[in-house]
Amino acid sequence: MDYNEIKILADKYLAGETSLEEEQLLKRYFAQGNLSADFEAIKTLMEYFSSEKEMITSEGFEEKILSKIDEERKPVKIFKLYWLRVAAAVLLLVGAAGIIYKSVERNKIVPEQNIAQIIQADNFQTEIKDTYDNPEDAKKEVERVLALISRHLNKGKNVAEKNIAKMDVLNKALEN
Amino acid sequence: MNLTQIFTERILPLKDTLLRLAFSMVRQAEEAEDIVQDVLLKIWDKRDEWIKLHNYEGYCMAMTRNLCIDKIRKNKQSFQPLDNISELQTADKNPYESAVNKEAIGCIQSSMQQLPEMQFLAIQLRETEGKSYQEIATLLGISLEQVKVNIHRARTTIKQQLIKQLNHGL
Repeated sequence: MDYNEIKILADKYLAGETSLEEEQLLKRYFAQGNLSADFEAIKTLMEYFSSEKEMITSEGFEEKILSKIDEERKPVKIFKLYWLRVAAAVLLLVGAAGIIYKSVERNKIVPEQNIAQIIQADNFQTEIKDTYDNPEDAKKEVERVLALISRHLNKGKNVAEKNIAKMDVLNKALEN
Repeated sequence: MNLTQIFTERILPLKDTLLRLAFSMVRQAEEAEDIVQDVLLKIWDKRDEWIKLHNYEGYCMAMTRNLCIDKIRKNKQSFQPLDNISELQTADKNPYESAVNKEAIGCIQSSMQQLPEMQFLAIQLRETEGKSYQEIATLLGISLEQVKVNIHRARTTIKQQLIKQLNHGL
């Protein structure tokens, strides 16, 4: 390539009109040396970028990023778990109350004169077996259990009331 | 595709492109990789906004450039291209570097840092990534004509800065 050909190509390059092939051609020509000073700047410009073409991230980079992302997710999970715990506690209370209520009621429903018949049927034997001989004791136990449930429910209620009180303060502050 | 999948399949593979982009601004391999790491984590933080994105590559590149500019502003001293540390590191990693005048590199680097976003991204995609004009147009969401104009302006600006610097040297 003579000077004029290079000049045309270099101008085309600066104009942003060269194809990738033409840019390769220029680069190869510049690399040969013996270059007119007119093209020194363009040659330097092209070389600036050549040096970073093969550059890649270091080994383990991807794993490092992925592990950081995993770490970052955890705080969100902890926050959600807190509410899950509260929900689980409420469910447990309601469930326990339901089971106790049912078992108490079943014992009530079974009329005394039928008990003997049912005892004869082996299948149901375990189910209707009385736990207390004395009705007074049974009543006491039921009362104890119900009191326990009521106490726990009140605990929750107190917390709720406290928080509602807090909300009221907040609401008042917002209104002012 | 869930968010983790989008991240690992579409965003994470851009890491090398982003690294080269950061390097062409800060000219320091380790620093460039730190920047790319920050960019990727920042993009992950903004995963709620991905739904609005049309092109991940352009978004990631623009963010990398902005973070480079922030970093350069924050610690101007440590990015002096002529200090011994960066000279040694870049010389090891880039065989071409030694052939090129160090002052010229500094000159191109500062010109690159000052280019408007579109010009910077266009010339970076062309020179380093070897993309066609059409690919660049799609990536940056501009017309073919605008791509050429941006590349033309970027090349011309850098060339003029180099000539100015060469003349000062004489």
